[in-house]
Amino acid sequence: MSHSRRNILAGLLALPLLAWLPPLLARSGLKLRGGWVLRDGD
Amino acid sequence: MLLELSQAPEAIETGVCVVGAGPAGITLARRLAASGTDVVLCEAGGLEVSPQSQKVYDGRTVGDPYFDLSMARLRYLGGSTGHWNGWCRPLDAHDFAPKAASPAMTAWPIGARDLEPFAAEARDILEIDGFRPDEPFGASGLNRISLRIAGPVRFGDKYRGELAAARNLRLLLHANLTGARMRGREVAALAFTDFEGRTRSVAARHFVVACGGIENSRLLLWLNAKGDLPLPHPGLVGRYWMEHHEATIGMVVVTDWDAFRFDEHAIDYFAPAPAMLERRRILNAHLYLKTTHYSDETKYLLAELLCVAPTLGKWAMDQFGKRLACVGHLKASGEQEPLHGNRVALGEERDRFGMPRTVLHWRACALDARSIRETGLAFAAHCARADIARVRLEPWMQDDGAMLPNEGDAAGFHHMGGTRMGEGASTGVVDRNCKVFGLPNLWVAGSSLFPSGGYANPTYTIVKLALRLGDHLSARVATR
Repeated sequence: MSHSRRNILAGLLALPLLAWLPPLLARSGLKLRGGWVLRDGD
Repeated sequence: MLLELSQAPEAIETGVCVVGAGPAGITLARRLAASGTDVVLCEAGGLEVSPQSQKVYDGRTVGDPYFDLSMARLRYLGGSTGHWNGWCRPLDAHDFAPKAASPAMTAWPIGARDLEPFAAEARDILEIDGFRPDEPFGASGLNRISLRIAGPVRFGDKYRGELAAARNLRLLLHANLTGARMRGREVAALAFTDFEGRTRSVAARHFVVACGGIENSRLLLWLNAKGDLPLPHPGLVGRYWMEHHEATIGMVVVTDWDAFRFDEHAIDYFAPAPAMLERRRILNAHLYLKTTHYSDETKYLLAELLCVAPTLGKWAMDQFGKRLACVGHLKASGEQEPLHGNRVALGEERDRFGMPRTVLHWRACALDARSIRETGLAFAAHCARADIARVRLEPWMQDDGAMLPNEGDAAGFHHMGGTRMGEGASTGVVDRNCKVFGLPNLWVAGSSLFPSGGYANPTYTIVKLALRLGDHLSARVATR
């Protein structure tokens, strides 16, 4: 598996384990998805 | 004048003996010589890197993984400027003040204004332009900052001819510090030995140890331990040793090219403003965003963005064909909290001169990790809010309790602390003028002086401190 594919997998796997970051970002109208910090409409 | 130690008289006398010819020692020796002071500059190595000299730097590390100590610095004329990348940046003015995150041990006894008179000459030595003033990076709480690259200047190459030609400066090569002799409370003479075992003695009115951020501590610890140079306050020698942590924050897709100002190295730099350091109670750090060109990595990154953010992903895929460099790596270099347990210590094994080898105790702490993480998150959140870029965070950045990943190049080869400056012997090894507490004529130069390290590459500060010490010492020599 390539380094990039491992990174993608690691990012996606990390998502459900996180409790603290999504609420933190939500206060700024942002969201965390697959390790990406995104805004509505993305 | 340039001499092998063996070519020098057995007993040498001078005004100031500077031990170590790296950026601190060479800058100091030049400054003193220019003021008319007679100087002997002692370099343990030769004119080129050699295995026998590097071998003296062998040691081991306890704690987090760290570089091979014999490769992490260079032991020859010019010191570690022989392999540095040349990055320069002054410490922030607020780096000299106690930091809210760790107020007890982060304060310097001097301020940025004490070094400012030496800034222009330091830039001339390092062959760099001035630094742009920091400016707010939108409403992120971060500032956009500037760094400069010094050539990089190799001090040995640049100053060898000048040092050899100076009338009142003798540069002794292969002069390894191996002993000291006291006269009352003063250091009377230092003993130096070459690789063939020949010894010479240098008597001086003042002595300066300028051997680097690990060796300054090691030498003082050893000379104190064997009774040659009893330190009145040895307790903090070697303690509060620091590095700059290096960590990858993530990958970035730039959506508004005009919001960034990439320099000639395709890098843009950011650091927390003082208010953020105070409010979040974090240490200093800086981020650098370096653009990258099309590769499998960027292809997968955009494919991934398409999955999690279809609208933006489609836009980015479309842009990708038009502007190849729309993706960047986001990395950080962060301050390490000065901790009593992080230290240079003497091991059981000895080098060829009988000096105990270094045991470096070094660990990152939770505050170090949190400081970099919060700085990176502030950047990522601002980029999304302002719709100028999107950041995909590394897994460790998404875990509130994660320590620094410590993979690959986990530190900056920046060795700081160990002989820290302090207001008194309870917080420092040397005073605000770099003089060892309790000894009237022993001084220290180099990054081992730093009580805290900020995020700035240390060489620019090392040179300014050495110029300042040079002025102070030449005045002392002239008035006595």
